[in-house]
Formats: sequence, C-alpha cells, structure tokens
Amino acid sequence: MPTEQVPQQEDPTDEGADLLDSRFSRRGFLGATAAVGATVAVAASVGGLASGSNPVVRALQPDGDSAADGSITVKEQVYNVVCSQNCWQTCRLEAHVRDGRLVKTAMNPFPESRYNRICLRGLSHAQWVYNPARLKFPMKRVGPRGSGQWRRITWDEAVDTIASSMTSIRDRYGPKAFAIFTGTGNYASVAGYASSALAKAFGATSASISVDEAETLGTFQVGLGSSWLGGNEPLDMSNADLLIMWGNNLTEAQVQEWHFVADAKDRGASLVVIDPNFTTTASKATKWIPLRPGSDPALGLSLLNVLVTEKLYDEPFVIANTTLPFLVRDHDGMFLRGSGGTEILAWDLDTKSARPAKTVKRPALEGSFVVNGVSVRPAFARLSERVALWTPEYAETFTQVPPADVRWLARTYAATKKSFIFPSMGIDRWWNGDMNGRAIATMAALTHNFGQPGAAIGAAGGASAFVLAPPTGAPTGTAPYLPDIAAFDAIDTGKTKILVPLDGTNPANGLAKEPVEVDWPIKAIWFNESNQVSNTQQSKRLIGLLTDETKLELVVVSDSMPTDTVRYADIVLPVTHWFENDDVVGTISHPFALRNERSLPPPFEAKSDYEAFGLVAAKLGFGEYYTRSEKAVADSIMVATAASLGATGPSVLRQYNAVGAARLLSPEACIGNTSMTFATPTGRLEPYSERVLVNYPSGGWIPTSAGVDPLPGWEPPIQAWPDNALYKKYPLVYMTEHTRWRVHTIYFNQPWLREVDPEPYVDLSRDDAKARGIVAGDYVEIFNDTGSTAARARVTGKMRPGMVSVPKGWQRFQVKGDTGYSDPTFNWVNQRTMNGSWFDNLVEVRKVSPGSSMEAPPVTLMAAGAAQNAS
Amino acid sequence: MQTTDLKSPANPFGRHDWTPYPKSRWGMVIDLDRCIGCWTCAVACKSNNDVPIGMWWNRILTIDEDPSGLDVQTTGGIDEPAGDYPNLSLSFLPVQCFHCDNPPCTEVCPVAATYKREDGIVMVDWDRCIGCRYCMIACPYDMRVFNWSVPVQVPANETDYHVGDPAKPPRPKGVVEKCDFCYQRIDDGLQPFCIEVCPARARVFGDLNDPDSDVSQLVAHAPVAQVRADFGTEPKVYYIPAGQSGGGAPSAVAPRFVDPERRDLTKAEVS
Repeated sequence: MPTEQVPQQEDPTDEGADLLDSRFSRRGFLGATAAVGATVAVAASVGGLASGSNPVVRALQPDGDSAADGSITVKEQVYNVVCSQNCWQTCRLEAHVRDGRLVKTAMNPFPESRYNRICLRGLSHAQWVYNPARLKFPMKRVGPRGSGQWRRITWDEAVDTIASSMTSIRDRYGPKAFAIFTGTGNYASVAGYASSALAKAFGATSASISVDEAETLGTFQVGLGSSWLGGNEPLDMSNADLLIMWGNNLTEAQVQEWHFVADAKDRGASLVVIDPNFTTTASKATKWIPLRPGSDPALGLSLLNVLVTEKLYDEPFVIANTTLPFLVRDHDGMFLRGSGGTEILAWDLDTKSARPAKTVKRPALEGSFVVNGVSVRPAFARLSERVALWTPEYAETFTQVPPADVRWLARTYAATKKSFIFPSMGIDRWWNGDMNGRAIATMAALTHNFGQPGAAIGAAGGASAFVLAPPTGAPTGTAPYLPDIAAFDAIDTGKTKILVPLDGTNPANGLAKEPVEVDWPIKAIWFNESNQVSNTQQSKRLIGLLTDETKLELVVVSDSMPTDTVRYADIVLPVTHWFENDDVVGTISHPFALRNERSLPPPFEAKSDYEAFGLVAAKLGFGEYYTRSEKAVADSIMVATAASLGATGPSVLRQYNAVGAARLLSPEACIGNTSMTFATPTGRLEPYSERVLVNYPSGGWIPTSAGVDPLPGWEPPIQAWPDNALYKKYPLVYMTEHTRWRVHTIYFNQPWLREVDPEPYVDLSRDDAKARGIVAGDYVEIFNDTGSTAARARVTGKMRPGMVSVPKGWQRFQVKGDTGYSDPTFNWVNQRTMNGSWFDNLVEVRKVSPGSSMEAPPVTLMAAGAAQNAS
Repeated sequence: MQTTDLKSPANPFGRHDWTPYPKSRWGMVIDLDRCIGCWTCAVACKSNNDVPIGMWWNRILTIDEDPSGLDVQTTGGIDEPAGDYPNLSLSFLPVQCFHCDNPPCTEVCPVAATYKREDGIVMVDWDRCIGCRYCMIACPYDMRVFNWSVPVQVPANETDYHVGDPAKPPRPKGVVEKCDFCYQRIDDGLQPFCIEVCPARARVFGDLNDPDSDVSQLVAHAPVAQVRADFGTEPKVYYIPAGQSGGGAPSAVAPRFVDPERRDLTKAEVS
C-alpha cells in the first residue's frame, strides 16, 4: 500500500511548516503588506525608486544566507487530490500547500497524458476551502424551519439528537421511516460508504436523485451504452470518423471530453451536433442540426425509416445478433417459443417452417405466418411497419428538420464504419427521454456501429466507478431504495407508489404495468452530499414538505457550504471539503481509480462524512463498520478491487501505490460490447423487446403483453408540445442548461467564477424578446402556473425562438425574489423511467413590474453565516 | 505528497532582467478551432498570479469571425454568436499581453517601469511604476489593467493568506499589471501556467528562436495570424483562426500536431 503517510495530527502539515523558511513567514509578510499598500505608491511617485526602499520588500528580505542572487527558496507540499463532483470528469489534481494552507490547485498528470485534465472550477478550490460562508460548527434550529435561525451546538449534542430520533422513529414506524438521501456531491468511495453502511445496517430508506435515467434506460433496453453507462472510453472518440453529439453540449458540461473530439476532427472526422440551440458544441460542428425541442424521438424514427427503407442496415449482423428475426405473436407481442417454451423461433425461408432462431441460417425478416394456429410476424416486420410512417417528410412536421438532412445523416451514419454517437442529458430530461435512447441504440444495432474502436453509443466504457469494489467488512444486503420524487410522496402522504410483481410474488417474472400504492412513511431525513432543494424539480414542493413541521420530525443536512437545503435543516453538520480527508475516487469519464490524500486540516469543527456517520452509527450500535481510518477503508477498496480484477490486480495495485492513479481496465476492455452477448433478457440486441425495462421505483421489467411498447416509438413531451392547449398561455419551452460556471449547484459562491458569471440570466431569442418588449439587461420573470423565477435577460441569437434557458445552480438567496430556477418546473413522475423531465415545461416571460415581489433583492449569503458568527 | 522547492526572487516587485534563457524568444500559438471559450486559462492565471478581483490578465473575447486578419470585433456579449438563428457562428479569442517584439508600452513609460527582457517577455517593475498609465493608452490591444484602489485578492481578503506563486506578491494600489508569461515559472524551467491547464489542448508555448520548437513549427506550417499585425508591433501570441482546421477536411494544422499526444497537457519544461 502507499508508503507515504499523511500525518493524522491536528495539523497535517506541521512537518511542512518546519520546511518552510521561517524568515518567509506568511503572516508577517502579509501584515506588513496590508499596512503599506498605499505607502508604496506614494513612495514610488515621489521618486523612491531604488530597489529595497519598499517596506514590503524589506519584510521579504532574508536575514542572512540567501542565495547569491538574493532569491528565497520556498517549500511547497504537493498532494494528490481529486475533484470529485458530478460533472463526472473527475480530475486528478495537485493540491499545493504552503504553511498548511492550500495555495493552488494544478493539473496532476495521469499515467496516460491524454487524460490529463483540470478546468476553471478545479482551479478555484482555494475559494471554496477558505470561503467565509463555509459551515463551521454543528448547529441546531431555533426558529421555524427555513428561518435560518440556529444556535451552535456540540458534535455530541448533534449526534445524540440524530441517534435518538432514529431510534424513536424505528420504534414507532420501523427503520424505513428514516431516510438517508445521498446525492452526487462526491464521487469518492469512502464518503459513499459512509452513508450507505449506516443505511444498510439500520435499514433506513436510501433515497437519491431521479435524473439521468431515461436515455440510459432506453439504450440499455436495446443492449448498448449510454451517456453515462457503457460504450467506449472517452479517448476512443478520437478514433471516430463521424461523431454525433445528440443533446450533448460537452464543451460546457464535460469540457474534458472535447479534446478527444477535436483530435478526431484534426484527423478529418465530421462532427454532427443535434441540438435546438446554438451551443458552443454546435458552433464546432461540421453540421449542426437544430430541431424542435422534445421532438428527438421523431428524428430518431425518421433516421430509422431511412436505414430500413433504403436497406442501409447490416443484414447478416441483424440476423445473427438482434431480436429482429424472432417471430412475434400478433395477439400479445410476445416472442413465439417452441414446444419446450424456451427456444425462441424464427421463420426458416429454406424449410418454410418455424424453427429455433439460432439454428436458422436464412430467417424471414418480413412476412406473416401461422404457426400451430398462432399468427406471427418477424420482429423486423414490426419495426419496419413502425418506422414506415416516419418518413423524413412526415417527421419534419414534428422535428422541423429538413428531410434532406435526415437522409444525409442516416446515409452517412450507415456508410461510416467508425460512427460514434454520444447522447447526453439534453435528450434525457424529457418525458419521452427513454424513447430517444431506444431509437439511437436501434440505429447502432442495425448498422453495427459499436463494439469497435471509434464506434459506440456513449463514452463511459470501462468507467472506474463501476469497477471499484466495496470495502471489505461492509454491511451486507441493500437498503430499501426510493428515488427522490417517490420519497417526497412518502414524506407527504406516508405512502408511495411501487410496481408490484405481475404474479403477486416474484418480481423476476415481471411487474404489473400499473403501480400500487403502499404504506411507506418517512418521518425524518438526512441529506448528505446533496443539495436536493436546489436539485429537484419544482423545489417549492420539497420546501413545502420541509417547512410543514407536521411532516418530518427531523431534517439533518451535512454540507460544507450553506446551500438551499441547509436552510431547511434542524441539525446542520459541517463536513469537510474533499481535500481534507483521505479517499479513493472512481468515475464515469475515465478508467482510473484516483487516490485522494488528506492535504489540509479540517477547518473549525468540520468532520468528514465518514466520521459524521460513524459517530451516529456508534451511538446506534453499528460502530463496527466505522472502526478503521478513512485511508484504511480506501486501501481495502483498492485491495478488494485488485482481487476482483484477477491476473491484472497486482499491477493495478502497484500503479495505484506508486502514482496514486491506476487504470483498472485495459484499453481493449474499455471498448464496450465487443462480444456478441448483450445484457438483455434474450442476450441479443433488442430493437424489439418482449420485456420492457422500467425504473419505477427501482429496476424491473414489464412484459409487452401487459401493454408496454416493444419498439422505439413516438411519445410527445408531457407538457412542452404544441398539441398542448397550455401552449397558448405559456408558449415558451423552459430549460435549465448546465454551464461551465457550476456543476449542478457546486461552486455557486466562487468569486473568480462569479466575476464572469455574476448573476442569474435567462437566454431569450431575439424574436421572443422583441415580441415581449424585452431588451438585453431587463430584469424578467419566468413563470407558469407552478411557479416563477427571475433573471436578467440576455437576448441572443443562440436560442431557438420559442425556447428560454436559465443556467442551473444558482441558490435561492442569489436570486431576486428568493426564487429558484426549478420553481417553474414540474414534480411529476414517468413510471417507466422514474426520471425528472426537467426541460419538459412551458413558461411565459415578462418584464418584472415595479413593486413586484420579484424585485426583492437576494437574501444575503446567508443567515447560516450570521448565525454562526453570533453564536 | 511530495515537497518541491520554489524560487522566489528577493524582490518580487522589482526588475527581473536575469533569465536562464537569454537566447530564447518566447511565444505562444492558440488554436481557435479548439478553443471553447471555457475560461480555464483565465482562472488558472488568476490563481497562479493571485490577480485581484475585477482584473484579468488573461480573458476570453467572443468575436465575430474575421479570417482575413483577426481585426477583433466582439459580438457584444460573452458567448454571443454572430448572425441570426439558425445562421450563426461563434468564435472565441483568448487574449493576454502579446509580448510584442516592438512593444509600444515600453516606449512611453516615463520611468522605465515597463521593459522587455532579453528573452522577449514584457515586464512591469512595480517598484518603479508610478501609475501614470501611459502604457495602458499606448497598448493597442487593451491588455493592461490598473489597481485603482487597494487590490482585493480572494481568499487573501478573508484569510490573510495569498494563493499562487510565492513570487507574485500582493500589489500596492496604483500600479499597472498584466500577463508576464509566468516569468518565474519559465526561469524555473516550467511553461506558463495557462499552458498546462487548457482542456481543449489549444495552447502551445515555446521558443520562437528554436526552429524545431512546437511554436516555431506551427508558425511555419499552420495558417497563423496575429491580431492587427498591421500595427507593426510583432505580437508573439499567434492564433490559428477558427474554421482553418478539421471539420471533415484534412487538418490545416502543422502535420505533427495531428498526433494528439503532441498536444497533451504536461508539466513540460520550456526548453
């Protein structure tokens, strides 16, 4: 294991302090500076020009044995740290520490230079670590919930309060009534273990986010990768000859992926960007295909129409590796099986009979047959019939994409053997997001554009987050799980809806289509690594649940900064910044496990998640899961991971120990779907499925015979679609895009970033602004019947007329009127996907009228800071 | 954890003529086809040089493409494309002191506070600067900023502790500042900080006097342009204009730069 030990005493850099030339005392230096700043200029202006006349310089002069040129040597400690939030770029950084203080973050080389990375946010960590608003002490609410009135308490009192509430709730309602809500604020493994171990040991409800699910569910249904699961590793994008970014603005949201695309372009590759708005990524495209927001499944179906009608698919491949030759029963959509009930049959054109599909060399792809009195057709015929309607001309009435562009893209995609589609969250945040995924993956399934260098759906192949093993000694089993919206139903009503087994007993035999309401009271909640008030749709619903003190007996929030969620806490726990504890981090966007070293002492009374959960667990009798140091847990994760990797394990461990970064899977193993066995019920690619995957509330499937769609299809957005009568009242589609200035809500208070991005803005097209008498710089309200928020108008050619966008991540206290960007969104649930339809909203925009509540200035940042200072 | 030594000049404010590379002529090439305007270079610069709030040595302009000569017309807003939907274009121009070979700023400084080192870096001596700001008027590119009041540096304003290179001291009110190519990193054998951070791999730095250096190769073989070369200032920051490379056509960048590893971020030494 790593030989370098980070000292665990109060100040981990005491050792470093000795190394620092004591004559170069920072404090003395700065004390002098503050006093003389003005003097210098005056002195200079009257001619005091000689070097050394400057008192600041004098303060810097060493007393004696300086170098010959008078220079001073300063010792810096450089630690391996990881930027661990959910942009999933997961940069390995250097923390430069002098005198026990973080003075800089820098790029820290990976074992492979192509993954070297850092961004503007990762460079600003000192402004987070030393942010004056950082939470300093445990606090207990004294005013009404949400009032921002707390008093400082000890950790002992905080831990006692939480543990006794958990015990009491367990006695009265069962352990499930205590929910531990873990968001995506930290990708680090020990931090993740911290909350999950207590949830499992106690039997608490484990709750988490419900976004990023739909598109992945769709591509997974077919058997291929997605935006964040599977596909090829990111650097393989540079091997592609055609790259299609579908709803993916990676130049803002995943900046570290861009250079792989640029590398491909330098080789002559084409970049196609499908996006309603002229994003930075679109500006880099060889061809930008703008389309009506939410119409992406129709574009997908029209591309499939061209692939099928022009026979651009790879027929031998389709026959050998997809469900398309399978015979489908006309009456219920299920596959036709042989007499044993296991072998799925295909129609053999040679013997003119139905035979087990895997034995048929020339199966029928079209036609209609009767087998033992059952009418059947090949699945291909069903797909062909489905897409026949979706000619590029018909689809244009949905998508507004010129038919010539559709034909060009389909033909180019089929003709280019290294075609790489990287779909992302722009198509995920819609009611119909799963249908986007199914259409896209079906394109690849028909053309075999995956499973080889330069060809894939998605760029998460070999992602280390999915390779890292749990630590040894972890509690076994799983905690009962609810995604956020279902958990909020449980808080609200004591009930939630779940899908139950079709046969009443075994979920492995399929789930019923209609959900059933079950008792699931949640009486207390602990948010950790989560700013869910800001990250859930229609946040006023959650705020309402939190401020209604009859619903929840206790709200605990652990965080390092005073977020929107902290505001509604009964108990606030100050936790560490990533650089203040040991951990190991895996991710989605590269195959490396990264070591995170404790480089800084936790400030004030901050403790790590592991310590915080460990203290509560010990009170409840589960202390056994938290006896080791964080570093020991991290090391045990790496040892278990190495063991799971078999023959390559020892070399992985050696690389991790030597450099603190280890590739877990070989480049070859990071090319997804190279074997022709797929993670689907049939083991084949499934453009046609008889078992349709659902996420509600956790994974399962519903048989096609129960009335779910076996094929990629069209489903309109639930709200933001012209058919909706509401369109007349609220004619603008409202999205909350992800920009480079924040990651979800993290970095909301970084001064360097706020200099360039100082306040919430809303992007409006010129047409829409003009129609409303709005000019750039006007303060406007974005509203619908659900809620409203306010922002400064930017009038821009970037926006498609009929769409508006407010970047995600501002905290309510930064927005006039104390509103949030998610207030005009909807907290509704798609049963299939359990996915937040963040962009599927209609709004109107108007100038803020004088005297409106929207004119109220932002709440100062934030009551939390003031309360702590007062205590 | 490793410990490294950083050399800090005895007087970080004063004149720094000495360079270990007197025969070098440092320059930079930025590929605008790759630049995504993310501001990573700009924030890196802030952090390495502890640049006060309200000032940027390195910033990103959003420009209306003008392949003919980079006569910089900004589009009027950050990230604002030129044109009307859907006929749009978007280009970024990251700018900083161009370290001109014929710098107008040094000509006008009445106290010789702004000067050119032997290796071509244009410097400001904060001991000598009297805040007259003639250099700011003389610079045709608007690359200099001025400390009108006592600079606010974050987190130093809260913690009494300054971030960045120890050779970048808290400056006094009343001096001009600007990019100095991270001269102290160069003297330590490292590239400027903005080079090792660019997520797009758009920035290349090196010795223009060395014909085999990456910058010389790009200047020789790529369609580079300088901003308003007609001023005769001979800027040493070159740009590969947007639309000149990639995009389904064989690359117009220098052939060796088609090798992606050539561009990777490294802790590269300057020579």
